[in-house]
Amino acid sequence: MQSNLVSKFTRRVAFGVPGDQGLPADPVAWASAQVTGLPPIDVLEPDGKRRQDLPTDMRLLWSMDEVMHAFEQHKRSERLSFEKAKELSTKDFQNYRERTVYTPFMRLEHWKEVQARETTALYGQAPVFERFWHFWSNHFMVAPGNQNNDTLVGPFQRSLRPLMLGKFREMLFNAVTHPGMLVYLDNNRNTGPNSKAARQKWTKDSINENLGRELLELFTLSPRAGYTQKDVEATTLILTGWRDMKPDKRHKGQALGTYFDFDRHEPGSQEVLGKKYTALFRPSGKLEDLVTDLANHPATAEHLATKLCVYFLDDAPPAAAISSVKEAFINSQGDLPTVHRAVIQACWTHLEHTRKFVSPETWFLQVLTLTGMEPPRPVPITKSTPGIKTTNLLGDLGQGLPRCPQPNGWPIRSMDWISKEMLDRRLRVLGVLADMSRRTGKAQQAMRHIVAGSQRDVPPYETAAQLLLKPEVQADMRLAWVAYLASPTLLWS
Amino acid sequence: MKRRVFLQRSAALTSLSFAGFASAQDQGHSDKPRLLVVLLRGGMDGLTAVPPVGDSLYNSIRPQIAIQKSLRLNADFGLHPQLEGMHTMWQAGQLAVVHSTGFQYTGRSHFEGQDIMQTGVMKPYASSSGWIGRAMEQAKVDSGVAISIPMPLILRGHDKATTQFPNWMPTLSDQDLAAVASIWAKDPILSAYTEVIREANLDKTLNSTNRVSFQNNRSMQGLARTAAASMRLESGPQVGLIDMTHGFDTHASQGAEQGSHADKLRDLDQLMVTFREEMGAKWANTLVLTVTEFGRTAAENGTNGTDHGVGSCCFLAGGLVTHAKVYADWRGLQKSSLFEERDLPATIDVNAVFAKVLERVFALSPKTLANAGVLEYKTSPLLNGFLGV
Repeated sequence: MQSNLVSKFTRRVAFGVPGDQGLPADPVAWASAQVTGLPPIDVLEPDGKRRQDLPTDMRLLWSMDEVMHAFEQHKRSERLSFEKAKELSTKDFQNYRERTVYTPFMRLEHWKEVQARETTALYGQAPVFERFWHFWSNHFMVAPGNQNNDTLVGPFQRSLRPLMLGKFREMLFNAVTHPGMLVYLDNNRNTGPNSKAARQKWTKDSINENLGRELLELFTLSPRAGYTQKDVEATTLILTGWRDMKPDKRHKGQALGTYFDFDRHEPGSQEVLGKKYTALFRPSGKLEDLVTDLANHPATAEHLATKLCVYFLDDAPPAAAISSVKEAFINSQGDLPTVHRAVIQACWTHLEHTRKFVSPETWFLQVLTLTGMEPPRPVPITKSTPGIKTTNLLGDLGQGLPRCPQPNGWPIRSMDWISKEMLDRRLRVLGVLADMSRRTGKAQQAMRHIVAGSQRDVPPYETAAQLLLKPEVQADMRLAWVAYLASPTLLWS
Repeated sequence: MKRRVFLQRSAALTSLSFAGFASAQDQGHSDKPRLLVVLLRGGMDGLTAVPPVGDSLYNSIRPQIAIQKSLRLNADFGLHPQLEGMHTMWQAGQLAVVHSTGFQYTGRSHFEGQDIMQTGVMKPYASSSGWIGRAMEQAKVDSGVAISIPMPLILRGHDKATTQFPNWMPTLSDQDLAAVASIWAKDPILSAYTEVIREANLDKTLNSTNRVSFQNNRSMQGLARTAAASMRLESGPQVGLIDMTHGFDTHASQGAEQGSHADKLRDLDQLMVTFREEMGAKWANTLVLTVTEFGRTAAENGTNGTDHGVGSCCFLAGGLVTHAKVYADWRGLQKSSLFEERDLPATIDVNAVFAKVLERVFALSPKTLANAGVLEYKTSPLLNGFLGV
């Protein structure tokens, strides 16, 4: 197998291998081995160790008690800041909000989550696992922007990682009932009209279809399955009462920080896709049963197999690739490591005749991997922290993590990442990073990577390969960066 | 239930006496009309933007979120108080509203809906080009620009349509750009962009933003300025597009005169006002059209918000608007008149509105558009004389 194809495969299922390192001898085995264990995630140094210079408040939040506590604090500080609005001048009010709300609960939170995500992809143990995590955290999108949910976003996305070693059904149930999702899609207020809370007028809340609709449309069946508004409404009723919990005594220590509030739950039975879901003795079991049925529905297998193949292989994936992944999903009852191995195998089998214009984030991580550059990361991050920030660069490229605009996640089709502005920005980011390599004394190292990598990765018939052989191009840093990293071979994985 | 049809001949002030506009119209014969499309993603609540104040059920089905202090349009409809600038346009005869309008799509999915509002094809994910892109191709328009980083689907299908968005990053050198042109030459998709990228890097006016103005440039007003800066030029793009991503999806706590939906409308108002100011004399020959994927439930939901629905309203602003008027086939808010007893129905097919817009701006008849596969043939008798076509 030619080196440029093996290297294409490493970019297809991970972020590539630096030019001065050997390519895997058995690429499929190399990739498959990475989806069976759980690699730790943190803000990492290039040697893979946890970054030590972070202040204590820059640790990732792990336990649900911690997460829910931070969430409540964010809401409280937001309320307090509005009370201050009356007594402070506009400027003082803005400063106060910056200090008490934006910096601690938004900027720092998003900084550390994005840094953890990017440095774990670059320096962690299993970049292939990270690519699949990027897929699932995009499939179950939770983004900032609803009810001060900023501190829930990262913990939600990271909570999917251990679930990637089990069945899809477990991931689905945990994703749908995680406080991050319940808040993001408004289900914490979804209340049955005949529930005790509604009948006795403890609350004015009633049904809210937001999560119920996306459970069917985005997470499982997809509209092609042909469900109806009635199914959406019944799903919504089954979801009533599932709420995030407050970190008080009564709720302390409950798994996931999720609370099933029977007083807000719609009693009785509901019918989805012609099947009746009945409470019997355990009303929360209705959702468990529905999620099981949705996870095992053939339309779900079809939807997920197609989406995985579009994400990893091509906008128009070969039918054989889709059916092999779908078969793996159905035969293993949605065992995710099995499904992931099927995707890896399909990537390898169909490598030569498929191509993918990857998302800005994936491309950015490939650029850093292939040049040996570190993601730009000034600490601590406040509004006035000088310097180039990774989060901002991703935004400039058109993918401002973690602020995904809509619950369907970032686009997965090549054509959605190609426009004059997007291509222009990729070129300019290369200029910014090349300049940064000079400022940080990494220019020589990056150039060695580029020269070695370009001979290995870019097929000789490509103009970029011929260009990169010229001494004058190798001597011109920016030109070499552009010729290698903006070559069609590297833009299309 | 008695069917009420409003065909409002608006009593709004129609003092078209702005000297600047009159003279611009005179010189504008050889001048091609300009079209700015504003995408309102998330599903704008038409009953909040243009409250039907004359409908006795409005307040009772929306106890928490009905707009009480609207700006007057006529006896039946008001305008949200945050839309002050647009109200001024109404008074000048430069704002029209089509209400209870939408697509013949009732799936209530954002993503299918946003696909349909851009492709103009009622089957989701069936087309890879947009109705405006196809119309531009048909009308042989020179260029169009989306003020956006990605290329929105609605403008795809025309090879000169491009994207532009405020950018702080240093430009590339001529040498770097020449290298890019040579390495992309054999790639049919990438090579189509080398020339426009080169132009964008050489144009000093596009690349002179410092950090502070860069932030301001990305506000809605900033984007309107960017759009107008090129569209007002004689040789500038005939079509512009601004994408107000998300934000209109107000399932919970949407507010009324103030609140999250009101904030988005204020953004829209500022966008419109800035665009009018920046277009200068060209405003007289300009049309601004808002497009949203669907409306929302007529009644408020259980969390002081509204869920996905069908019909909404559509704004048209600019010198090409002929009458300040609300076009609607209003059937009332009683349950039996609503779509599936919950949503404001789409009694006017919004594709008929789009066809009129294309007829006015590109001089293509609805029949031509249908035959060329741009937009399915739809008309509405209520739109006779709309935009003077």
